Amino acid sequence: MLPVALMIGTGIAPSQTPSPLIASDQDGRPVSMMSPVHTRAVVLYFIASDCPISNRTLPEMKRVQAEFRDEAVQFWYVYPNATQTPQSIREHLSSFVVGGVALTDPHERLARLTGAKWTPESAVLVPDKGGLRTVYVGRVDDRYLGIGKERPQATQHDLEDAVSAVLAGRKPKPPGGPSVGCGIVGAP
Amino acid sequence: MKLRTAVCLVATGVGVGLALITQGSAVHASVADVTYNHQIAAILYGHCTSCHHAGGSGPFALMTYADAKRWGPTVERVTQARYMPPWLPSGPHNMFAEDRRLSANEIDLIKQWVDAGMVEGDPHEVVKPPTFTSDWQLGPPDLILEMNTAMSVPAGGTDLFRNFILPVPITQSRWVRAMEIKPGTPQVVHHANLAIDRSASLRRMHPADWQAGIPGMDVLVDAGEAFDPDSHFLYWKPDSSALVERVDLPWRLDPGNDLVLNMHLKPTGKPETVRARIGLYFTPNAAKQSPMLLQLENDGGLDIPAGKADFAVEDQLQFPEDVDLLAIYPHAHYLGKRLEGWAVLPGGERRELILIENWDIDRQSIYRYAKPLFLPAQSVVHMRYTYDNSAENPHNPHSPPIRVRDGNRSEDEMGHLWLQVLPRMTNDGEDLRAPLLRAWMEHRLHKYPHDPIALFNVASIAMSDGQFVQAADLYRKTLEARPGDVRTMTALASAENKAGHWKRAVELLYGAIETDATYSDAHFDLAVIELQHGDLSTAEAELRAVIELQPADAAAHSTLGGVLLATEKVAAARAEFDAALKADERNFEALFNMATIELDAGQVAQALEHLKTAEMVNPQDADVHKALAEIYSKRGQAADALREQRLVAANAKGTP
Repeated sequence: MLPVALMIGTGIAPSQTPSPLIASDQDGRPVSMMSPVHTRAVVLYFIASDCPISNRTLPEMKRVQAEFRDEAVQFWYVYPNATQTPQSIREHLSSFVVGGVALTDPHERLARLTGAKWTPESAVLVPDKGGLRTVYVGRVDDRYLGIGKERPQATQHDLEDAVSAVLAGRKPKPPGGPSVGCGIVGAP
Repeated sequence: MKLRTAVCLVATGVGVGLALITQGSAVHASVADVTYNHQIAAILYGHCTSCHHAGGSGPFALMTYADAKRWGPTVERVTQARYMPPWLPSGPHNMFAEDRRLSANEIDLIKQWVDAGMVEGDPHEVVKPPTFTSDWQLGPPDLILEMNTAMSVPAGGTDLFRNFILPVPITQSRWVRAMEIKPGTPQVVHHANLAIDRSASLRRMHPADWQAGIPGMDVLVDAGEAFDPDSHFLYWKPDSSALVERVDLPWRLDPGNDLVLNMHLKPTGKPETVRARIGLYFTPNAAKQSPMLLQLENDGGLDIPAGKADFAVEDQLQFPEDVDLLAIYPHAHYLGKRLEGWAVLPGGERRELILIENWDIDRQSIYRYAKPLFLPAQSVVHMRYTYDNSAENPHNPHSPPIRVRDGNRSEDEMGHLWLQVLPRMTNDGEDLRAPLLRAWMEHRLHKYPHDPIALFNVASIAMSDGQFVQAADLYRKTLEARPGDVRTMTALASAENKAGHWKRAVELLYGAIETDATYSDAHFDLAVIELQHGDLSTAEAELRAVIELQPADAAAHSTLGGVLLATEKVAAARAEFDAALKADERNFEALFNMATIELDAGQVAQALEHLKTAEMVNPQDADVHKALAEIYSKRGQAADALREQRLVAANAKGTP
């Protein structure tokens, strides 16, 4: 388990202390978030099984994941809420057909490191000096503009654009609007 | 700032008893006093848990302290924004029944509670939670209808609007006192409206795909031949339980009717299936009054330029008679912005009927007035809707915006204001809906001189007034607007026949049959005219054609039975009357003719039963009373015979 340095936020001063990026899967097993050598970007999806907007955004998350299936981009689904039980994660993974290993974040480490505060929210990290640096955190797309303000379909795909920018060697644009959904519930 | 300070103090256990006074609110509660058990549970139980319970339509439950704590910040946000509980109309509380809005006081209490750390409080203070059942709310229904097949809703994508047809397997007319729609998967279904298709027109229009559901945000069904405007708003919304009608206002279902369930489905993120059921509760008591649905609209004015943020349409309708307004249903699609309806009374007084400042199709609803709203004759009801077709409208289905016109698809627009009105009763037994329909349709014809719906309805009104020549003229104009429409051809034939031109009518009916041989009404009307003019063989052939198309058409069976009886084919006639009674056990012709056959065959008991039913169906028919009098007389039931004889005399004179 190689420690991986993370730097937080978009345009925010990077964390001075390298943080080991070890998360847990839904069964509590440690998972190394270290990107394989060839990985050019890591995407974290912050989701919650009981958040309706998070659930409704899952198809778009999966679409973006599929969009980059041939690229060196690694996707992780993070269940950041302290209230989320392993059983509820397993059921959610199964009924919503979420692919891959899910991560829990009971100590809000991933949320703090990326600056994520909501479900659904996404973060893009890139390898940097032996660690990972957050280059994007925010909404997946602009379908939800606020409470009660939902577009019939998204017109901007902020996350997809951010990943494309990274792969093109550009700096991603910050999200075009706030994240909308359910606040991440930390440990009591 | 003051609030935040107080919250911090409480959070550190210092500020117990610190009074909070929030601006614009009468709340003087101590922060420490605001606890889940003391106030919040009661608010949630009173306004939220009807949807937010396990298995309910809300996406999560709010039944316990743990639930409330999990969702507290979200509840605070959505109540501060007045996004929840869902309620679109502004205006005074209690104008409408089931007004779900929270008071400013309650909203402040939730905020205080969340900001203070969501304290549980004294367990002795908690109110008892409501209980919810997945069973039918009013017990087992008298009839349950279910969608023919389950519909698959994909995990993602845009919302779906689908119309499902549910045939109603009844053999006699029923009065429905209550209905409950069980959407099956409530979290997928945003709302549902139910229309009665009196003539199964939608099913006929979609023979191949009606079972899979017909796409469309709105649906137009054919009202059928008889003047009998559907009179009730039938709907489901996320906190609906059973929809119970006023005791004096049940709604009617006839054999052959379809129910059309118009559903707004919202993908949840995972594949879902929806299979709705409808539970119907009957009453033996017929409606004592006849409400009516009326529509103001200006779809014709909807031609909204791309980018236009405040496009307005208006309509107005003067009521020819006194009515009570029972309910209102404003409807637009995604571009609707501000929807307003009001009445101007004869004295000039303005009365607000509904005002929605920020329309949202996702939360559309039918609103029943808490008390009927009286509108005297000559009142003018107005609607004024505005639309936002700019890119700033988040609901705009087009990006970038494009020109939008009226239509049934969700990406089209609409501007409808439906009203449920109850005409004030008079003593002469007149159907008071007719003048309203006349005013409505004449107004529509004024707006759209070539509109086939208006032309057809005004023609039908002329028919009911006995103005057959005028009716024929209007039906001809309808045909110009809708060439080849077999129903209009058939109606025109009826007008021509009534105007004395029966040969012209026959020619028109043959034309209708040539256009669409499956239109059974044309066959039936042709049979009746030929029967009237003595051509029994053509009549028989046409009636058999009807039965082939509509095997459960009671009128066709009973009329064919009559033809066969006239040609002394008694056994065959009897079979037809049997079939008629199977389809409609209250078919008068079949009941009476069957009794006649049974009397000839010496089956007096059976004949008596059929005649008694016939008497219930048509108490004014002198022949039934005469037949009954003869049976009672032969059986020595003198008093019964005398009563029937008196009824023969009374009805022969034409006095009930």
